[in-house]
Order: sequence, then structure tokens, then C-alpha cells
Amino acid sequence: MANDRAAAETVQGLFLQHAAALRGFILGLLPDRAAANDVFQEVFLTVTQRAEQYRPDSSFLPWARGIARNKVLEHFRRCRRQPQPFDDRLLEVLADAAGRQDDAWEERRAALAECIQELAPRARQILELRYAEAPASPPEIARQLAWTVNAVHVALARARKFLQDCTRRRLAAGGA
Amino acid sequence: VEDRLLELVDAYLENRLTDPETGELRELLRTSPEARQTFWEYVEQHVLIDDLLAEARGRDLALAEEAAPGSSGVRGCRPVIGDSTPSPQPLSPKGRGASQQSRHLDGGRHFSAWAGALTAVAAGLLLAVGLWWRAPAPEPLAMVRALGGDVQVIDLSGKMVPVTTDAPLAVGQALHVGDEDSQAEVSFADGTQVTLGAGTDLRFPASARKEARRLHLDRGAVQVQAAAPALVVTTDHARITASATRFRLYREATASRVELEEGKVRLESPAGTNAVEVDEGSFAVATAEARPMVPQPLPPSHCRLRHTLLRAGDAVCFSRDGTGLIASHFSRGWKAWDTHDGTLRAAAPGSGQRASGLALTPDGATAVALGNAGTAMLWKIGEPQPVKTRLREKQLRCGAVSADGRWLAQGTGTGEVALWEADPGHGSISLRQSVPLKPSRVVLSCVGPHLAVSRWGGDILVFEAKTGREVGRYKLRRTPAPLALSADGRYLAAYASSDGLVLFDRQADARHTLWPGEVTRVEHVEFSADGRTVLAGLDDGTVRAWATADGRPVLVLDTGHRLVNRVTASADQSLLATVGDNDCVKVWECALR
Repeated sequence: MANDRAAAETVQGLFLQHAAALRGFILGLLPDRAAANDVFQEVFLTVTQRAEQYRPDSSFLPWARGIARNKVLEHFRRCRRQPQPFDDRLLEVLADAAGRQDDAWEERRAALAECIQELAPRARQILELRYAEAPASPPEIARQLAWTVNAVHVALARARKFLQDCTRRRLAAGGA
Repeated sequence: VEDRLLELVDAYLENRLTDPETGELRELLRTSPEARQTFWEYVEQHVLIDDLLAEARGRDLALAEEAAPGSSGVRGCRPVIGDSTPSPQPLSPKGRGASQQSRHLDGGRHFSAWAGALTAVAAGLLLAVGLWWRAPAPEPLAMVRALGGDVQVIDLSGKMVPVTTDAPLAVGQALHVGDEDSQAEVSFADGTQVTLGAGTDLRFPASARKEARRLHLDRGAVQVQAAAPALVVTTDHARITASATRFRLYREATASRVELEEGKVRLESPAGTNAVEVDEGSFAVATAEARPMVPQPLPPSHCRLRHTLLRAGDAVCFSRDGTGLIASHFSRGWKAWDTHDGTLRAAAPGSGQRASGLALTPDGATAVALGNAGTAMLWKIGEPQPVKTRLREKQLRCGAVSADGRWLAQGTGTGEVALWEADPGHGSISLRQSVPLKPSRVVLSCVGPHLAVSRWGGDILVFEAKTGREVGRYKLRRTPAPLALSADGRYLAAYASSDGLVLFDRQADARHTLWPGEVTRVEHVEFSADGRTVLAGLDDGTVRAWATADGRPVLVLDTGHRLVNRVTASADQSLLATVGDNDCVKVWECALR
């Protein structure tokens, strides 16, 4: 019993440590935010239940991703009416391609944090509305700012592209 | 190609891909490993932006703090705030060296020590002259490890500066934590951790004895996990000496209360004329009038965390038999969970509104919720869609649902309290009464029903809801929030910062103050189904419960939430559900009876 508890605590700690990476993985395969959150919760439960199966000398993230991938597939099987963006084969290929940058996760986070500071105020405002605790949809943002919905989409895309370029630049400079 | 890919991934993440675009994205991802790598890079960026902006809003504590049950930390059942950040770093070699030097000088009687000290002082003076334009950095005493909301450091000149994570704190400085949803955690190099709740001012005065760190609590509440070297925490009423202990300290206007989770502390009056040892599982109060301090046992908290449901809901209620838990979330909708294994039984979309009230009908078949923008919903559990009914929607101030889901009440700024009756069988809701009042809060009992309405200024009026006849009037010094009425209408509980949490026994015409008003705010109060227990969720993450018969405390539970927004008990009081920050729900096995 004590061993079970210790194992559960270990994997829960690791889950928290890698929560953002796991959430990203699930969201990549299942872009519906609410559904992705549900799967995230299921993964947390399953990881806890199977804590004894996790070998501490192995890498946690691939093991948890395997569970998350199965949970996403289960979700699509359960919700057949919901359109599945990718077929099972492509989901497998995509899932296999995830995790190439696991080692650089913290560096990417730090670089991105600095890049967010460099955003123009308007771009930052739009991102904050879109990523708020109760996120505003692009039409809601458009109403608030008296813009067109398309202009909001363009501004969001530009802000994300800026952040991607900026992050790559910073990582390259750091690496050099 | 990459720009086009990013456009497509953007549309994918926003759920607005057209069919041709979906085909185009699939083709790119299927055929190009580079496209798959860019895809993941972009998706991960999406999640990181979410995390970083949440952090900038002061919500960085949310997931790490809430999710893990049973981890060790300042509080019994949660990881330490900021557990996701690296463990406390030692002070810089420069700082550590300086501190070792000062200890040596304090303890040394040997001439060579003095000579060495004088030489060091002379060298220091010379160096200071050489570098006169450089102000010396204060010696770091501790580091701010995590924070949320409004947290400021008051520097040696008295200037308040917003503080950031990993900021050093020096002797002579103070930390101010704002009143609304704010919190900070401070780590010392020896592993001592201090969590400051909302509305707290903590100073780091120079210690009389260098080997004992000293803190002074001017206002609010702290939770302390003290490492082995002695730590002294003072207030205007008490001096607490702690070593290898875990305790909470609440500083009220006229008294200070210390509650021991682990180990023991020595509690003295400031003059040292009165002293007691307070052991694990006990509390003691030191007052301004220097009354004798008598340690008393804390109520036992025989609770075990059963489940943590991440981002599950902003309101919860149990099924009558306790096997199910309903959660309502403003954006994620309704969820019905199995309390035994934590699995999801059913789900349905919500109204996009936070729940002012949530209840389950006695047969357990229908959940009833009232949204804060005026939409009532009846959800037959298992059905794909709830029935939505728009009630009063203009200038809404408050709302409530009776514990049996039959009655709903809304208070508006136009001066009306509207009472509605739900008929879950037909999915209908009808207006039954309209009382002319401008309320700040409203709650309902099941029997009668009775309607309790608080008004600005502190009045609480109780009505027979069906007739609108006033049957009771109570008074606090300030506007109460929150408020609760027991199912039979006998007990009324209300919290105001001026009065604390007050329990009114309407039948016996008695009044008990259960919790003081000046320290830790009560976020939510609720009665058990049988009315024998009143439960409160506090903004220091604890749940406290008292017996309504005599006001005796029956539970202190440290939930590990940053604050407890809601708490509810199953009908047999064997389970508790708590809702914390970020809509995280925890289910506890408790023995309240």
C-alpha cells in the first residue's frame, strides 16, 4: 500500500512537471479545447492508476504520451459524430513525431517569455483576450475592438508568427 | 510553404478549418517530416503562450498547486506553491560568505577575531571609498518563490515595489500581499517556507540574536514550515519560537492565534511574562490583554483526498447517495463524475455563465443551476442538452438555488428579489413571488421556503418566500458576503469582515461568532443537509466546520487549494467536495459526524 502511494506520488509529480508538454500533445491531436481538457484529466487519472507500471529509470514523457495518445483515440471512438480532423494513421504518424524538442522545452519557454514582452501593445492585448481564463472568441474580440473578425484572425496569426520567429532567433543566439 | 502551414495550423487550433484546408493540412503533415516538426513547434508554442499569459495574470500557481494529492509541502495535501519551479537555491556565495562572517563576529571573543574584524572593516571602508558610487546590496535573507495577485516589497526607504518570483528579500524589508486573491511564498536558504495569505503584511526585522531568523506579522495570516534552526515570529500580542514545525498564524486586531500542524512551538507574551508550549494538533490564542494562554485541541481532520478533478467546475453538488458529483463549469459545461473511481459518467454543454447556485433534485435525476447572467438550466443527467430558461437578466446582483433544486431566487439592482419554482419533470420554471428589495446576496432554504436577503450596510432579512412576509431581521456591521441558510431555515450563517463568520440560531434566538473577521476571509459558507454542521471555505485554503448546536469546531482541513471558493458535503457527511482556484475540484473522504 505504501509502495502504491509512493509510486502514485512520483508519477503525479512528474505529471505536473510535464503538464504543459502533455497538454500541448493532446491539443495537437484534439484541437477542441474543452475536449482536450477532459482527455487531460483522464490521462492524469490513468497515469495515477498505472503508477506501478512506470519504471523510474525510463523517461516519463514518452510513457505518458503513449497513454495520452490512446485516450485521444478513445475519445474519437466515443464521439463518432464529432468530425475527426486526422485519420488514425495520420494521428499515429503525428504522435510519433511529437517530442523531438523535449530537451529544449524550458529554454523555449524562457525565450518565448521574453518574446511576449516584445510584442506590440495591441498584439499583446489581442493575445491576452484570446488566452484569457474565459477566452474570448475571435468574433467577441472583434466586437470589443470594433474590428472585423478577419482582422482579428490576421492579427492573432501575425502575433504567433512573430513569437515563433523571435523564439527561434533567441534560441539560435543562445545556442551559439 | 511554412507560412501556409502556419496559417493552416492557426485555423486548426482555432477550429475554423474548411474542408479543403483540412485536406491540405493532412497532405502536408502526411508527406513532410519538416511540416510535422513545425506543426508540433507551433502547437507547443500555443500551449506555452497560454501558460505564460496565465502566469502574467498571477495564476502561475494553479496547476502545480492544485493537482497533486498527498505531496509534501507547506500544506499537508498539496505541493508547495511553486513546486514546479526549481527547489530553493542557496544564496549567492557572496551572500553566504557575508552571513558566515557576521556569525563569526557575533560569537567571537578571541582577540584575533576582533583584529580580523577590524582589518576587515578597514578594508571594507577602503573598498567603499574606492567604490563610493555603488550602493551596497542588502544581504539576502530569503527569496520570493511564488506569488499571485498584488504582492509588493517595501524596501528600506519605505518605497513599495512590485515583486517578482525569485526576488531576494533582505533584513529590514517587508512584504505586502494585497487583499484580493493574492498570495506569496517565501523560501529561506535552510528550507524554511512561509506562505502569506491575502491581506498580509510581514516584516523581516533585524534579529536580536543573529542565529535566529525573525519575522513580524503586522496583519493577516501566514503558514509556516520551519526548518530546524530556530525561527521567531512575532506579532503585537505574541512571540512564537519554532523549530522543525508546521503551523498557521492568524493575526487579529486584539489577538493572535497559532495552530500547530506538526511539531510544537513556544508561545510567549511579548514581555515574556506568560509562556506555553503548543503541541501538534493544538491551538492557542494570545491576546492584547495578556490573558493566560491555554492550548486547546484542534478539531481532528480525518479526511483523505480521494480525487482531484482538474478544471472541473466552479460549482459542485453531490447526489443524495454520495456516489455521484455534479460539476458546472462556465465554459466546459456540466459534468457528472463517479465519486468512487473519479470517472466521467455524463457531460452536457453549459450556458457560458458562472453558477450562482447549483443543486440536484432529491431523486438525483436532474441538476438545476442558475447562471450569473440570468439563465436557469435543468439537466436530466445523461441527456445531451440541458433545458435553458432565461429568467431576470437585467442588473443582476445575486442568485441562489435551494438545496433540493426546487426554488431559485434572483436579486436585481432594480429593487426586486424574484422567487422561481422549478418543475424538473416538465422542464419548466415559473415565477412565484416578487419581493421589493435591493439585495447584495440572497439564499434559500428548502422548507417553506424561507428566503434570506442581505442588504448593503449589514441588514439580513428573512422572508416566507411564498407570501413575501418578513419573519426575521439580523444585523452585521458591514455588508455580509457570503451567506447561507440551513435546509429547514433554522440556522443562518453570514460573514462580514467587521463581524467574522456569525451563526444565528433563529429558533433559539442565539448568535455565535465562529471565525474572526479581520484575518482570513471566508469565501463560501454552506450547511450540511441535516443542518447540524456549517462548513466554510476560506481564502487561506482551509475548510473549517462547526456544529450548529453549540458552535463547537469539528473540522479544520487544509485542502491545498490556494483558496476555497466552494465546499459542500454529501448527505451522510462522509464526503466533502472543495472547489479551489482555477476550478479544480477535490473530493475528500471525511468523518464529519
